[in-house]
Amino acid sequence: MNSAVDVAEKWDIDAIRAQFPTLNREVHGQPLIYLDTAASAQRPLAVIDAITDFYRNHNANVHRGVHSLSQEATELWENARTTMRDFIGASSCKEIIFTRGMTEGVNLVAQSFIRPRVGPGDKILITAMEHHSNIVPWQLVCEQTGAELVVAPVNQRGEVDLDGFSQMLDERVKILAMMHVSNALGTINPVAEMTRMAKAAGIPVLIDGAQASPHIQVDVQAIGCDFYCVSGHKMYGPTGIGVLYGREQLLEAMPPYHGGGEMIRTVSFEKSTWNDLPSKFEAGTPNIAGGIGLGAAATFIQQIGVENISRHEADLLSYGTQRSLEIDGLNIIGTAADKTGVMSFTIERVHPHDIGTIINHAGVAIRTGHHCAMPILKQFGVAGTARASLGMYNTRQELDVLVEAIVKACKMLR
Amino acid sequence: MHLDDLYKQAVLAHNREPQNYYPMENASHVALGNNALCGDEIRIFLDIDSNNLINRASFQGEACAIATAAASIMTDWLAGQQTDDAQAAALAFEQMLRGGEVNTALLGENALLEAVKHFPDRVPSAQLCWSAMCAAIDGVAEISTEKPA
Ligand SMILES: Cc1ncc(COP(=O)(O)O)c(C=O)c1O
Repeated sequence: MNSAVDVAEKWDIDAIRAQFPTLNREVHGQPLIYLDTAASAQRPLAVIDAITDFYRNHNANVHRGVHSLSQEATELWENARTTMRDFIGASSCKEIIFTRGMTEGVNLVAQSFIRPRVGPGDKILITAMEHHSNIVPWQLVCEQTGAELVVAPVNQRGEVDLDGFSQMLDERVKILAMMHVSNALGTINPVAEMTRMAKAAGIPVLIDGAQASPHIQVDVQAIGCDFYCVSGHKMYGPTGIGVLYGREQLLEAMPPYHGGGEMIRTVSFEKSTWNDLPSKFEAGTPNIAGGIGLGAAATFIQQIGVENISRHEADLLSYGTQRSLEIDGLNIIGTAADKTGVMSFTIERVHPHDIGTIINHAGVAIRTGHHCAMPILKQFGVAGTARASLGMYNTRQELDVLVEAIVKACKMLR
Repeated sequence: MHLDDLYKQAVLAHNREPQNYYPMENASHVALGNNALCGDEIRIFLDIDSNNLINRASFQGEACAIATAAASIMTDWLAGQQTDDAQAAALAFEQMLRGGEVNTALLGENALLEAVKHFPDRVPSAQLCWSAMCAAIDGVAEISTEKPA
């Protein structure tokens, strides 16, 4: 690659875009304008090459063999773990569990950490803006244990109401589970402050970082949380891979989530004993190429510099927001003071689904619908929105095309 | 496939000014169709007499242009149909959207939506009112259509 460090210093957008092969595509005869990074980011060559290199040159199982390929595979896999440790600011590789994605991380904590600790009268606290993946796993635990799911309020800008939130922190709350950044609204929650408040009340904290790690600096120790989940495909890495960070002391005390190979030390029909962290939570052969690809994605982000990415996306967000407000009848859903590059909107007398279909024919990819966050959209009185979400590779010109395409769609439909 | 085939002028006109868009008082049959994926909802009202003749049909709801136009066209067409012809047309409409061979004469103006078959993600939108209509005839109060046909 064109040295990523050079790219970052000058913020050479052409050089960044050149790292993403899909961006060369056309859709319906028009250059692709990809504004759906919040659903899944495009992958840079660094990730594609890391996966290909693994399969072409080092492919073998990990932690199993004395032979060279297995040792190489193990080294690549464990290097990826170290990269992820540094990427999110954890202190030990024992605290980095590879998962299938953010969703599996939450389910693991819900079942292994919370389920044994709660019963009737206990509460699980989330916020009103959560993604379904940070709602449903807790509802399952509530059904299993009789605990109650309680929801911190969100104001009309799409920010957690901190007064309302603080009043909900009592001794019956056994965990706070909240998102760092909202996929539907773009809101960046003050997770460090909220974690401090929860910890002061003795409440453990899990954070859904799926939409944070690709866009803003994440430092789990600075935040002070107990668990933090990231998702590979949101951060320019592969699908089917993610990381759960957990504080070592808590992970040590938790029972395994899945049983199988790799997570055991000894197995007999009478009783098996568990492997050390992090293997205890990684049953079976993992997504080795995915983990290696995720490590490559984290390295790529670090080389570009997450603060450079944040700055670029913030510029695009303010430009895009300002331009989109030129559209007659457009209403932005989610106007938090602190936001990542998510523009979720509705337009009077024009349905999001039609906009999505029509602008796709201009090469513009956006998402329409409820974005797996039905409760918060319901609070805003809408069943769905159109959402343009930004990544490091987007440009102001692309947002101009977006706005023009929407204006055309409105003309056609009204 | 061109966008203009999906959003034909006639279809757009039905979306702009939907026909039979009102809640029918004393409807004999009512059902709600919803598409949980995009949040669309259409309620179908039918006035069916003792000879299984549909005298009037109307609808209401929040839905995309394709779903709204489909419901407008369908409710226009339904008035004066026997319930079994309406059910047969629902099958033919579904066949049409799956790309099957159908006698579009059976469908009248509803065949305007044929191009939806080239936009698989929009098939449930066009199908929504038909599912709700069949549910109403069958006495089912609510039906969900998020799976592509
Ligand atoms: C905020 C948020 N949390 C969780 C998820 C789910 O992540 P994964 O696909 O890795 O399970 C998503 C993505 O859909 C998301 O946007």
